Amino acid sequence: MSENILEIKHMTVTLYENGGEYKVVNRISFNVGKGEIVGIVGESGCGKSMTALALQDLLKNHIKVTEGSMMFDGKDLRTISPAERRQINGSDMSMIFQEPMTSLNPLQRIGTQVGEVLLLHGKHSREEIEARTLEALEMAGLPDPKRTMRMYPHELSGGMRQRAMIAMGIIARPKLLIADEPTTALDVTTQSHVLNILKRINEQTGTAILLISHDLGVINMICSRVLVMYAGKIVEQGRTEDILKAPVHPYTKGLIASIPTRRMKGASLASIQGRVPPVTEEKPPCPFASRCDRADKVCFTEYPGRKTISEDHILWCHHEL
Amino acid sequence: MDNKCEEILEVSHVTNRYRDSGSGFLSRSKMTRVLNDVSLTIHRDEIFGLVGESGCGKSTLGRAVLGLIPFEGTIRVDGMEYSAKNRQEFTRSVQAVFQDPLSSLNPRRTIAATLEEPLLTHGIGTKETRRQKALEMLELVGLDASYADRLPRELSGGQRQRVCIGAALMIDPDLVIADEATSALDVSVGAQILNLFQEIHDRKDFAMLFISHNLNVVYYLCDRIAVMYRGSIVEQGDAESLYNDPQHPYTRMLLSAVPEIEEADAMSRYGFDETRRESAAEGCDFYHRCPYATEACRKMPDLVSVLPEQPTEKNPQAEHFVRCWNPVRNA
Repeated sequence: MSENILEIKHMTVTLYENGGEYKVVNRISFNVGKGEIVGIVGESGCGKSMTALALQDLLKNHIKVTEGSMMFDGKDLRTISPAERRQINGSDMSMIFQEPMTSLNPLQRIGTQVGEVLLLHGKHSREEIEARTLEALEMAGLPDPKRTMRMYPHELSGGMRQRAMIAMGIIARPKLLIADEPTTALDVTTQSHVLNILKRINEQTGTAILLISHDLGVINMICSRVLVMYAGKIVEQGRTEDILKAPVHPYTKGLIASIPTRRMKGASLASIQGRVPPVTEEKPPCPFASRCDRADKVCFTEYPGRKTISEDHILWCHHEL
Repeated sequence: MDNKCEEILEVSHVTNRYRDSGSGFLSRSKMTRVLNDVSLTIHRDEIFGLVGESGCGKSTLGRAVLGLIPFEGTIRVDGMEYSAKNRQEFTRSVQAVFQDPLSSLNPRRTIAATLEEPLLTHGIGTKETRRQKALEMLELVGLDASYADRLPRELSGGQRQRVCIGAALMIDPDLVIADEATSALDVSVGAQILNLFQEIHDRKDFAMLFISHNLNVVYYLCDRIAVMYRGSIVEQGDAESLYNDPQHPYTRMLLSAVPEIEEADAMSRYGFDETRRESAAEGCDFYHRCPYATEACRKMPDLVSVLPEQPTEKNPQAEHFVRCWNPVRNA
């Protein structure tokens, strides 16, 4: 048994569209340790959600994992049978989505939906399921779980729905919880409560969390390590503290500079010019080259190699800052 | 308009309520207050920020100013009150930018047509001058003439929001209401839009009511800020004073909830957690969540206290208001 709950090696996700093949995730490798909270950050369209969906086997038919290995808890998710995969999804590895309203069934009571996971995985008595559901709702920070169990999604506010989603994600006591932009639709106060709850769950149950967000501020609140993704590739990774205090990749630097903080008052925000290239576009070897102000000829002709800044701080760039 | 007045927007004692039919078939309907006696003033050329959580009534206030919903009290824009008769003139002075740029744009209309429409509605210019103005506006919002004949679906989220901002500015309004204009965008794209607001505001004459739930964004852009909770303004003041010396516990709570990149654990800055208590029947609305609440807060109605504040160059009469029995004073 290794130290890591998740080991991704050279994973590539390919999109087949209009007769073309496009790599939405391009040979990425990363690990998530047991009980660790890891963040993936990047703008929309950079492949972070695709990575999460690939882990949960939720990719649409025209998108496929075409390369690499995905070791989860000692099993390669790409080689095990669909039945085994279904056993893992939802119980050992579960997911929380961005839109709590569209992810919940409007016709079922919260209690039924949250408990459904246990009904499907393994043999549990009705009493046991009810007790576990109550426990999960309580852990997810819902006040008065007994009453909430009997309620329908439309009776809950956005933050409460997201908490119900979290309860659904943790009821089977997963080893890994994937949270894809869990707080993006919420406002700041609810966001900080939800993040607090995730952190508490991590501390109490030892569940590892893979948190996906476009906001480095959110990542900073709970993640110990962060991967910065751009156009399907990881461009920098390291401990959150190091990445935020001493970013090395121009893209990471741009992301940090675009967050308005108290010190920025009156100054122009150093936003990154342009936008993430669409997947269908041919990209230079360094995907960020077209938006980077340090890019020169090398960036358009050679792949940036892996550079080690310190023990955990790794970078893919020709011209580090 | 000759009679230009210094106050672009005057909101006084505005209340908005709707009938809540109750949950059961026979349950009695009751009135729910969305806005509770709100008063504020925005000066010419000022960027005024309005912050609060979802459901606090900040968007409702924006919509009331736009004349989209009924309310009690008076709202004057440039000295003018909204009525069915002066709708045309009124809409010339107030324009809005909303959160979701895609749903604000007609998907079948080209960008140029969208930009020209306000001019057409108000009968300004000829076909040629309208087109010319639209092209100039594209330039101003950081796009170029090549976008004129494209459709909204061909643009990215940030570019669409630029078009919405352009459309709002086509008829040179006195007041622009930006309702969560950057909330649906990525952080990096949101930064570009904030820069654009700042740039355009420097070049053109208009005041802005900037509505957002993120205090950091509001602080970054605005001169003065009002904090709203359950339909009432609980604290209002100069951006510097309010941000650096927040007095109302709710403002502190909002501040501590903003994710920070400079501090590892910003949440504990003011020692906040979700305090749960029975809400007060009368008295302060924030009672059930407030860690500083006392018996007085539960029973006594709200009050407004005024703090002396250093007047700034831009707002000579700036004042810092707090609606609280136990404002938190920094030692």
